Amino acid sequence: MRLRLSVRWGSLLFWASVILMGLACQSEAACPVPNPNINAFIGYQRLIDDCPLPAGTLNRAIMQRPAIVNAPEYCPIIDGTTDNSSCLTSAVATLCSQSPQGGELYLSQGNYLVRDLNMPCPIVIRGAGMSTASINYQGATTAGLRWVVAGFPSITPSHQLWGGGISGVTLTYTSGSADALLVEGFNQWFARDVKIVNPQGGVHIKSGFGQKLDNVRLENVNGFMVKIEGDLSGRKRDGSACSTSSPDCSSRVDFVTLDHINSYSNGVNGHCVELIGFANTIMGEHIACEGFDRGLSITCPAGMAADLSQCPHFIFMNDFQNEFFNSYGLYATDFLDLKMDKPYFYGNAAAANQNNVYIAVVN
Amino acid sequence: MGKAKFSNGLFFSAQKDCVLIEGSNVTDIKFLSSDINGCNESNGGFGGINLIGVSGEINILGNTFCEVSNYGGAFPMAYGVKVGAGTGKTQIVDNSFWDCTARVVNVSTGNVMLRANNGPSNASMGSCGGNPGLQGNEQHMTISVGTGTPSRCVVNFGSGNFSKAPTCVVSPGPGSVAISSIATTQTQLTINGTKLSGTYFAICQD
Repeated sequence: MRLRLSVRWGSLLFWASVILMGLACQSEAACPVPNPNINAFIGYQRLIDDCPLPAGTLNRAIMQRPAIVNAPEYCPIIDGTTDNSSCLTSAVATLCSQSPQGGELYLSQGNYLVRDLNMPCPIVIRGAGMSTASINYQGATTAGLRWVVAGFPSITPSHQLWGGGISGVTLTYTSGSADALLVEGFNQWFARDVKIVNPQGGVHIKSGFGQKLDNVRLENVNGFMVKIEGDLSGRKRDGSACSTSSPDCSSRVDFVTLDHINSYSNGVNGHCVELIGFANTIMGEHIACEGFDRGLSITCPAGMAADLSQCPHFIFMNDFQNEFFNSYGLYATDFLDLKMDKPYFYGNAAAANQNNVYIAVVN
Repeated sequence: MGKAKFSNGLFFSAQKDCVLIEGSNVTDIKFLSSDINGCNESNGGFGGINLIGVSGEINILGNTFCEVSNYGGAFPMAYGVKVGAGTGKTQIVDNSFWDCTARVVNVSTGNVMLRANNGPSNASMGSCGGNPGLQGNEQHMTISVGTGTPSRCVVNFGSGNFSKAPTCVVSPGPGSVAISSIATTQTQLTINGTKLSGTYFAICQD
């Protein structure tokens, strides 16, 4: 009986302390150490960070969540015509100024006009959903939303950052003005549940390990759908320039997963999935393309290692559908190890000079 | 150049060859269990898989060619597979060739093996008495000798069925006289005997 009462009283005291702290933190003045960077934190993150618990009462690390910034708290006007570039950049800067850097930029319902936005640290842009949160990108730069590590490609692999991505949002571009998403210097970046409309090109991954695209839809693409491109412009771990004799290089791409990606092109200028140079272990499944110049394009610039180890290799494509291509369903030169299961290539009958599959060595 | 493997694919509607592979450094390419049809729909002279100077090993196994040879266009596929000059070891096994003008065109001096491919027969009887008959295909056939007890019967193989003179075994049916010899070329089987009559069973393999 005594033990049971003790447990009950302990439980009551615990929950009473939590409630009291919550009430206290409804007023910022009640918080002992106000932090100007956390005004936009939402939910329990605010409670935890505004009101640090006395040492020993709870393990703070257990309740720690990734930092979350609610975009409307930085952008008071979200109407699709007011430029939100500066306020979103401020929100990103807030997240990047913390330690550890990065976090989540939450886009609630609305149409955000953006002309320039770079994520220099691991930021996840998480929208309220493809049908409710949208970014209207009207930038003049050739790259739209960017996750670019400062100094890339002149960084070593140890300077690459981990994380970042985008989900639950529709991106609409002024037709042909910019490539939709650019990733340089990040590992395990992702795009999930994203719709992209009217870009010049789609998703451009230029380095990193373990990137993943899942359930991405692109419409009215003028160039490529997904371009995965590695080269020797980066640095090795010792800081020296990458060379053809070493796989240790910050500008190579490894382990990319593409799952449920589909797109149609109006420009017939680009290639649906394009693998260039130092890009290894690319796995795709359930990919559908329509109206591109080439479906899957695999090329390697001259000057790579003679054994092709810096050319695309270990490429696995399952259920790759490509309709109405103009030149080639698959164009593959200078590669190592390609496997395609259930490919479907149906060319554009009105176009000339097409093969469904062309394989050759050119370099 | 490393390996490439295509399985369970559908290759439709190409203006030229559905698949073109060229270059001496191309190695180890496999096409397995795929449908390669409707190639060459608007141009003449092209076909399914065209290998040009490929020095590596090519395996074409269990595919279907030319099932819809004029898919949306006017021209049939000129060939299922063309093994071009300079191409090395090529295995073309257990494929179905339907309405190809030629199943396999081999202009290579390399090692090309054709085996157990099938499809509508394009073999036909040559000289073999009056009104001879043929049932089956190039690999397995029953020959009905025509009237007049000829001393020689000729079977014409369709184009591209064998990469070289096949090995054939011919057995007389019940009541038929024994044969004295056979001879084969890449395009013909010749059966020699005294007063051939009745039926003969033949099996030919590349």
